[in-house]
Amino acid sequence: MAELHTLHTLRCALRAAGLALAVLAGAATGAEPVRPMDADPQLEARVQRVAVELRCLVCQNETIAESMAPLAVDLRTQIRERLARGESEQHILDFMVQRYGDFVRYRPALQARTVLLWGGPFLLLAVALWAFWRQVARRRGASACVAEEATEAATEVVVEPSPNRTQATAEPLHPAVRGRVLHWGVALGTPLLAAGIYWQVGEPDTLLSGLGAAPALIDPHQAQDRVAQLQARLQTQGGSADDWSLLGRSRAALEQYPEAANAYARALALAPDSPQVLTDYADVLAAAQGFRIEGEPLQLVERALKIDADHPKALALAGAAAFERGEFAAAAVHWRRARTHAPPDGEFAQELAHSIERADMRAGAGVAPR
Amino acid sequence: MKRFLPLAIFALLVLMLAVGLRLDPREVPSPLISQPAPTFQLPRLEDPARTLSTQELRGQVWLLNVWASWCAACVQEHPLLLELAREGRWTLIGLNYKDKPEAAKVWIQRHGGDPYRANLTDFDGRIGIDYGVYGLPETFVIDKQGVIRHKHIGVLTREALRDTILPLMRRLDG
Repeated sequence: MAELHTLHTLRCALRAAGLALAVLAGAATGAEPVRPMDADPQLEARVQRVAVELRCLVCQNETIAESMAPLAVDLRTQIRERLARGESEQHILDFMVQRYGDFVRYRPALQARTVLLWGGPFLLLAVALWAFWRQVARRRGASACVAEEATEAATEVVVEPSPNRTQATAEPLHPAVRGRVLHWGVALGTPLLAAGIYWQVGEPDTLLSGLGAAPALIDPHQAQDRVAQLQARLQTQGGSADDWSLLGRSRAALEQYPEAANAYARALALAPDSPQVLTDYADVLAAAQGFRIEGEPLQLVERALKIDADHPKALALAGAAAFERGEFAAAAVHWRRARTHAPPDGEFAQELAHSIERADMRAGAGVAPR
Repeated sequence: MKRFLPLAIFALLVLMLAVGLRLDPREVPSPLISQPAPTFQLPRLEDPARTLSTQELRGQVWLLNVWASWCAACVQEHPLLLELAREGRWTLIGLNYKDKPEAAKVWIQRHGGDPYRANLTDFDGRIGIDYGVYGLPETFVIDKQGVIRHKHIGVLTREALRDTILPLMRRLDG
């Protein structure tokens, strides 16, 4: 049917059959290395942590972390970029679920629709135990009858005193006690064993957290409505540069970059000399044109730097622009300057440190930009 | 009663398996249905200096067809798209997904022409990810308010077009 499907189902199947090496070696032209050359181990570990939570929709029984399908490679790139930009892991998972649905989660979330999936095994265990108890009760009823008959028989026998009598009364206890121990053993042991195994190989964390409060997710619709309200109010009643910036930030958070750019344009008209507005505007414009800074965004950044030559975000964007052009040494210079002016312990500073490392490596190695 | 219990359980299992086998696990239902279509502003294949944004498509019902020259299945639906374009009523937008522009242009010429009002390029597949694309071809129906109303996964067929997509578009166009 669909292209990625058939081709990669085939690839998945071949790999499963252990034939993959030979075939893939022939068809490896499209395959990319799992990790880029300039991998930063800390970031890669976080990418990995998110990637193992996501199903590759092309090779459906693999996670994005394992799959070599081009889509999985792209998604890993997205995860890497988003983490580098400072997004939280949960936010990235939500982003993927919004686009690909709940199925993209390799471990299904515990929610109303998946209660049967999560609770099913426990339900089955309960049913099995119930059946076991019934069986035991029926047997006990039956054996009680047998015992009664046996006693009757015994009394008949006892009419004629026998030397074996003491032995006969002492022995029947044994199997009864043993039987009771077995019943209790099975009745308690089975669920305990099941719980133990579940604890080891199952997902007790998800289950327990699901039993607590349901995670509060922001409804994207709701957020959208609120932002639309804000925009309507600003358009009818007007607002300050800060108000328009707020709208721009909200639009950017919803990844509506062209709309965000419009809002920042209004903010900039009200505050033409604010380096913050200039750089924020440049940032969303760059996002709107596919995360490229070249062109208008770069002009805005340059304007911001003319006003405040030490503005950290403007410097960071200028560095990114240089990196984009393949001028890695220049990028590192910008980023180093940004770092001296950024708050020292924040994620921003950390990210800058990673970027500087990358730029230094590229500059040193003289690698062409990809 | 008791004797039929195993039979009943067996029948239930057969029923569930029968239903399960008919489901296609590859048809992942899109969570984007009735959600606002992700916005974009993308360069055109023929003239990368000119862009088209989702904003400019507001007010019309449009089809977004995700394709690529490397997608063998896309060849099958191309004649249908050309037919649809000849009708002239619908705005057909192509999203050229992770393709080389030269290869894409050659492919269009070789397969009977360009059915798209605009053919947009998504070189790195970012917009594809935004739309939850995981197999080619895929086709989205987007309404006048910019809301995704339908997603067709796989090759467009005459039946799907006649029975589902076109009636939906007519209704949306009102």
